[in-house]
Amino acid sequence: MDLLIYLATKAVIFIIFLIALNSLMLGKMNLWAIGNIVYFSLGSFITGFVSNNWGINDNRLYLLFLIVPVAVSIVSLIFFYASRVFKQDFFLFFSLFFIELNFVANKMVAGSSGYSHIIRPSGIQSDLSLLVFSVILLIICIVWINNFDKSRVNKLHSVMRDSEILAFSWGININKSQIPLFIASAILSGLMGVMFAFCTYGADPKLFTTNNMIILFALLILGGIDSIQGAVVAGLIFVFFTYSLESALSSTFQIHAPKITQIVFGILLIVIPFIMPKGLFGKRNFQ
Amino acid sequence: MIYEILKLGFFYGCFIGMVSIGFALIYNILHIVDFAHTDRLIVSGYVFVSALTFTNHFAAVILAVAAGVIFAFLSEWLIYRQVRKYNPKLLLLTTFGLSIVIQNVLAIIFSDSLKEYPFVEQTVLQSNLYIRELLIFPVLLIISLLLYYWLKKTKSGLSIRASISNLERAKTLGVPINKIYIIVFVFSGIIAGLGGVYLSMGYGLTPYSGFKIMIFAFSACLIAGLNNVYGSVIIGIIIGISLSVFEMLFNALSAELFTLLGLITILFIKPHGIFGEKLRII
Amino acid sequence: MKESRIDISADFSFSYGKNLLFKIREGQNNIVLNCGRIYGIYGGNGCGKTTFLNILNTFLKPTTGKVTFTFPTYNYVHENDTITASELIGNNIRRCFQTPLLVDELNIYDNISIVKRLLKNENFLNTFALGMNEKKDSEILRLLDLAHFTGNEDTATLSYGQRRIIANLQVLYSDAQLMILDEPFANIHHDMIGVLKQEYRKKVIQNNSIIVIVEHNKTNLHDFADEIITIDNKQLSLRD
Repeated sequence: MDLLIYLATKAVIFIIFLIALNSLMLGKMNLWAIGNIVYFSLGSFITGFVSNNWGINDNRLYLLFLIVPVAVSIVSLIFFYASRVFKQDFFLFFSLFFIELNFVANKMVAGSSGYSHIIRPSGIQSDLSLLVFSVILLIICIVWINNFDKSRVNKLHSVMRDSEILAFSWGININKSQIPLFIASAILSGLMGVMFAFCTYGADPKLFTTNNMIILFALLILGGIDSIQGAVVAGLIFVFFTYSLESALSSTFQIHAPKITQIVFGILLIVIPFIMPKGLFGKRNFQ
Repeated sequence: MIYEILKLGFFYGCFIGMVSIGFALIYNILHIVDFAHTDRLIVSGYVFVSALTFTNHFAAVILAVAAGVIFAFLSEWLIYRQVRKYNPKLLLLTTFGLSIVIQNVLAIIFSDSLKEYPFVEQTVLQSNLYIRELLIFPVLLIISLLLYYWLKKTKSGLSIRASISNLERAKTLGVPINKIYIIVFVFSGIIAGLGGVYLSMGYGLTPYSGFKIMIFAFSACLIAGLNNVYGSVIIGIIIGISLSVFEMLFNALSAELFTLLGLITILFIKPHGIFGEKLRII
Repeated sequence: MKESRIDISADFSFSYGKNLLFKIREGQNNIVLNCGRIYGIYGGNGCGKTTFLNILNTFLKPTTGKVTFTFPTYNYVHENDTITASELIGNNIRRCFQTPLLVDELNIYDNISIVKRLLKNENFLNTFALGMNEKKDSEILRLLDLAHFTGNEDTATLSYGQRRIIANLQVLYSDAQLMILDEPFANIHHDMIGVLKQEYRKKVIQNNSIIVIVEHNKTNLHDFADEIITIDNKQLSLRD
């Protein structure tokens, strides 16, 4: 039961992270924002830093829900500027670049094994309370994204996605329209990083690598672009399928089980264009 | 001491420059970053080190280059070509997928730990240079010259330049596009093979080494300007020297950090590259 | 209330690098585009008609001279890069491009309704509120009726001519003070052209707006435009 609650909490955290990526960055702006893992890792590492280096292990940890959004918002402006400077593949490459930079910086600050023994603040100390808290955040997130999809702002983003020249000719200020999305996506991802650190009691640099992010991205494509259901499917597969597969393989293949799981996901990435270019619940084809 | 640092950096930079030629070629034809390029390099490296257990160096190099070429050919023929038919926009994800598969298969076969060159490197005569260092710069020069001659003076090179300039028009003019892709990938496979040999002799191999090399090599392409294949060699050398100097001043991790920060700064200032054309589409 | 007007100074010119594309004809004073008028642009291929439209649309800046926009809600001098063009364009300028640009994800009705900026509803904070249902605009329904559309059609399935009609309807609906039309009637049936011309004429009178139109078809141009701007031999001039 404890294991199920733990996995469910992880799944909800990743679902919210993927909603932030799918519905805001990929869905509204057509950006391959794999760099969102940077915000996620920043949230975790700031939590670890505050907990381990500053020794704050009481309810002051709730201040992280203010500190992390500010920190990731600043970083998101860098990504925003990069998205205006670099287009398409080059923004993706820049994101990879930044993930690598983040990885190196995390190792320098936290060491190769990262932070451990992170204490949860009171109110979310039990696994069940953390799960309930995560689910509440998920519901708020889903309600907001649903409202967003019905709003006029969403239609403006359709215009910007389709043709920036057209958007400009209608007096749409693209920068002003996109910055809030970058910041909102960063804040959600960063907060989920904090939750992830609480959930796993640690922050390990090896979790926030490009490979894991690409796998998440591939699962999003499988789930479908700009859809909440797609993000839910992707999050559930990432947590439950990975766990199940590794457990099933570990008895036979032992230490190779995680690698074989990664190979399965790699093959999925190769095969997705053939089986499902639009994904399960996608609103449009992948571009 | 400073000479040693600069020497190390220069030769590592030559290696980066050589890898970046492969990236630039594939990018200019396929218009995607082939993330599996450096993983094919790692495969070649492992083939080289494994072949040394039963054959001499020369044969091992041939086998490594052959492995690079075969892998590149199979990647294009079996996977990329099929994906292009169905949905070319997802080709980038496919290269990622291939990269992940290659890395983890190598990790299963050879384990995660560093695979070192099984012999002790000897300097050549009195030169204070290892044989791989002595050879990397001439090899790079030969590759660059061959590439120049091939693109400028041969019919297939003309076809490649036509494809780079306008793929659709080249198709309508009867340029054999699929053959062009195969030629480009075979060339990149040769580069991967030679790069794998150099890397395994000088630095050792892990299944995941390819990613970092990819970051530096493709940055060299971007900073030089994607249309400038030779400029990326110069930038690659500068990157190599920068890594070496920062490592001397601080440590290996800081060297990567400062070099990456420097590269990002340059990319922000000159997004279309120092020698290249504007990339941004208005 | 201020009337719309566009003043192009006598020293106005545009060059690509060192190559002069056009300048005001020597001896001509500044060119004034007045409200309530339709101006046609006429010239050979490559003379700079679309470039001139791009300047009016604020995509490009003049190399020398200035273009002064006076709209009821906005004054702007377009000679350097001190201001964001989107603020000027706002709801003041709309363009029908040479290639009709429609948003394929939206249906026809949404493609037309989104053209008129409802700035209050476009606030990011509104995305947190419950879904804001906008009532169907009768003006859009009237325009769609003229072209025999229901509004629910998927834009991606339209023919080129139909897309061009929708692009025209977008400009008509927008109530913009400056309407820039780049070959708006190409590939459209003759009867529909007549309907569109009538609607444009009505808009110009009703809103006191300005139309600037590029047309290769001399008949379309001469029976629609009040004045013609010619670009000939790199010289820009205005005549009735």
